Amino acid sequence: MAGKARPTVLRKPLEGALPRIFYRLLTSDQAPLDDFRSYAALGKVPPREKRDDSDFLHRWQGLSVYDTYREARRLARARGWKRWVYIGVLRIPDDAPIVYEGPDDHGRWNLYNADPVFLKHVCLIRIVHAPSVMALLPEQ
Amino acid sequence: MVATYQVWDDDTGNIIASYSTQAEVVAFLRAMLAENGADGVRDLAVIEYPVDGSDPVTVFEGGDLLDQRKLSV
Repeated sequence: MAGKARPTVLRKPLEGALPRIFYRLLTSDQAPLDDFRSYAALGKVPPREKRDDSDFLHRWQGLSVYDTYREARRLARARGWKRWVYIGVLRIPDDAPIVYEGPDDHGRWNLYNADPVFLKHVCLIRIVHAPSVMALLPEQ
Repeated sequence: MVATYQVWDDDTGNIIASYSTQAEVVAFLRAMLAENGADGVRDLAVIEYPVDGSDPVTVFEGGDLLDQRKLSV
């Protein structure tokens, strides 16, 4: 990772914590379950020199989400709206057994223990077509 | 503040690595290519977040990553 600073790590549940809102890039307005899977779920093998790096191997298993709509949209635009053109708004319940780690300098967090079925059917509250929606206020 | 280079996977929509120099990210991509072959990098792209905070841009993607001349940093 860039720099030496370690991100904030929030492990659920936190007493008195509010539901968290995150923004996840999606490939379609149907939000296929594969859109909620980590890179590690593909079975790709990390480079040899990274196999003893426990931090790297941990992050390899994370699901990338953003804490603002703006940052999620900036990334989708950087990719030229080629595939990940929808943004799903995820409201993570207070008692969900999901681990959040982040943010980095660009509002990116990793989610762990995040079951794709749970994310799609419980947490997903809104889907936005990012190229045509410039700004979006998070729902309260 | 420094520029950040993030390795994005177009297949799963995840950032899989992040570095502060282009040389580091190229070394990572070469290692991925050696480990997983062309299929291991075909869906990857490198996103640069400029130091001035302006919008991120894609600096390498897909087939570019298989062209060694474009990885010669």
